[in-house]
Amino acid sequence: MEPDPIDLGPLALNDLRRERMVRAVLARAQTGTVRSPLGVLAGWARPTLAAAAVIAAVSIGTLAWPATRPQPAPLTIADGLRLPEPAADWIAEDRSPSEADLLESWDP
Amino acid sequence: MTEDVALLVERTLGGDPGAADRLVRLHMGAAYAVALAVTRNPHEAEDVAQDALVLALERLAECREPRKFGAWLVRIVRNRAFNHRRYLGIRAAEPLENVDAAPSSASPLDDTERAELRDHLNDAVGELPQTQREVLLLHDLEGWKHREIGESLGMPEGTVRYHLFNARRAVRGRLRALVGEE
Repeated sequence: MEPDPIDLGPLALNDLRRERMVRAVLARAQTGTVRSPLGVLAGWARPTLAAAAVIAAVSIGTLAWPATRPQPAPLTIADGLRLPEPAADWIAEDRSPSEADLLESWDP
Repeated sequence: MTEDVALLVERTLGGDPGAADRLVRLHMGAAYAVALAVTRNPHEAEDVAQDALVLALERLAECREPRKFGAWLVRIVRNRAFNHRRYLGIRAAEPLENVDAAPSSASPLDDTERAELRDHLNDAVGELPQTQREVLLLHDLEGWKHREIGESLGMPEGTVRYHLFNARRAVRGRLRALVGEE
């Protein structure tokens, strides 16, 4: 069995104060004088995320570009040693040049 | 609270200034009562209640259960009040400050008696443990139901009744003692 309620009326806000407080709250909330930290972060996050997306797109494009260029044919040993073309053929055919080969490739 | 609070929340989110006005008016008393229970200072309680309501309006979209806006608001008020007290470094044992309320339209004699009664109530309520103060102020000052208080303060209805019982008994005892001292 609860005791009867206590009249706490004298502790309540009077009408004048209550009205002032209501007006103050509505005025402040309308002008947005208070912003939640999440709201502030969200405000920063949007442009930051957009900038990060642009940077990522540029980076990926740059990194992917060399892979799409036509690659030169791989160098052979003859190319590396700068041997004349007939010599490269002899090496590829794994044989020694004959006298005829030497005379043919002779270029004084 | 018979008004459809969920509808008011929805309309406020939709930009209806009338709904926002009504929502604030409906909950100003409770916000003040909880702030007073924590700060025990009427002026600080007014500041805390206003700040909390502004914050609540700004974050209204984060209120997951619009039907329970009151409970959600009370949590915001309590957090702000605790932060306020921590910021000021106020000790928990300090008594309620006297309320220098604006004079009413009643006669000077009535005002004097009312001020005296208010001082006695301040002293008596100020000596209660904080949870009992919150329960008592929300129930006997703001007319909240046990269920609503329980949802707001995170306790079962039975516990609310228990705190209310003890709070009323303690306040009555203290008031009798104060009157007897005079």
